[in-house]
Amino acid sequence: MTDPVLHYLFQFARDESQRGQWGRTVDYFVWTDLRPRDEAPLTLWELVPEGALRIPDTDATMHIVRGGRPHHVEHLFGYWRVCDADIVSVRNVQPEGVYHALILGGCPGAYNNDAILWICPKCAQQLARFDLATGPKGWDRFWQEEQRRVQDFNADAKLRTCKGCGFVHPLAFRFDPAQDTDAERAARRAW
Amino acid sequence: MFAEIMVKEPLEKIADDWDFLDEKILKHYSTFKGAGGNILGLRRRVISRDAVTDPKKGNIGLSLELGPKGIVPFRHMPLSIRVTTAGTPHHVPHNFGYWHINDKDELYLQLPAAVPGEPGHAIVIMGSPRENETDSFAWYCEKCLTLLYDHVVETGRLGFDGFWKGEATAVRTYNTDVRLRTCPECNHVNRLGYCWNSAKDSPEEAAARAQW
Repeated sequence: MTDPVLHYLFQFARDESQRGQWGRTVDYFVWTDLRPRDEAPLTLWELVPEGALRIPDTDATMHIVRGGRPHHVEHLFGYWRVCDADIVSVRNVQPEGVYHALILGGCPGAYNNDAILWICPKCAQQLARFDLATGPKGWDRFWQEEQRRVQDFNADAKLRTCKGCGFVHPLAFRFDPAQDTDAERAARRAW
Repeated sequence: MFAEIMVKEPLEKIADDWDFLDEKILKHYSTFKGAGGNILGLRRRVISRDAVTDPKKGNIGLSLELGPKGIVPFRHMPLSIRVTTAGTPHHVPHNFGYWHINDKDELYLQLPAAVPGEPGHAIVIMGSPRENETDSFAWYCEKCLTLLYDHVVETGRLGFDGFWKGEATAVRTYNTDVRLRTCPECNHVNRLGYCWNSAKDSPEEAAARAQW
């Protein structure tokens, strides 16, 4: 039953120590989690030409973020991300909690580019954008880059200040909550 | 935080397929259909720890994979994602009567309903085949695992519509030629194959579906 060649199984309710971790198959990157029902929902947003699109938190949802479209998940990562591969987002409410999955990929070589960006929540002007060519080893590089870009954004008030309307963007935070500073933890609670 | 830049128009006007589990969208993916870079199959099934129950086929919660050490069984569990990796022959008893081999990973998600006994969602996600990538319909001897017959479809070139035509051709060819079903190594005569869509079963194929 545990042939290493064949055994890829992702449980939605993984061990606490694996929180914030992604798993990988040949073609996909998979993240799963179980969150308490009374916790603030991990609401998914997409950026479309008309503005920010809020995907409703229904009891059973499967949404696809098309490759190339900026998306943000509240309280999960404090930036907008643009992958060139599709992301399937699954939400399933059960009596014991809310199960989540994010599934990125589909075709070998499809995940070639990733980007992190911030937009002004008041006027939608782009504040900063960092593009990254990924490729076969790009997944690990993305997370290194994520750390650097979040730190840079948080350390530079000018970068967080909208040139259009003057609004100062709240601090960003990384995907992995274990890496949060106290200030980032507060930011994660807020958005 | 983004209330001020939120799209004010109804969501359905911007993205009518924002929820693939909505009944209106779901029905378009009841077999398999492309959605962006993936192919999706979305079915309503009763999912429990003991079974994944299809209303027509019965319990299809057991999957078999063929690995270097032989057949590896696994049971689909609620709230899990099982991955059949690219190139692995796999067969789901009572669901399709052949071993499917493709060049893409296949992900199986089992999402039960919040109320036990109600239909939940069984989801299959796999990458769209490209260029020279293929889908194969294969039969191995049920006694000794010798490869009996393998029908290959160039789905990357033909598109995924070629999958269903290829499946029908493969099953028909295999079922009508007892020589293909007779193992060259051990002489065992293997049972008939059957297609994924049970509505097309002949009485003999329906009998085979009930058996394996």
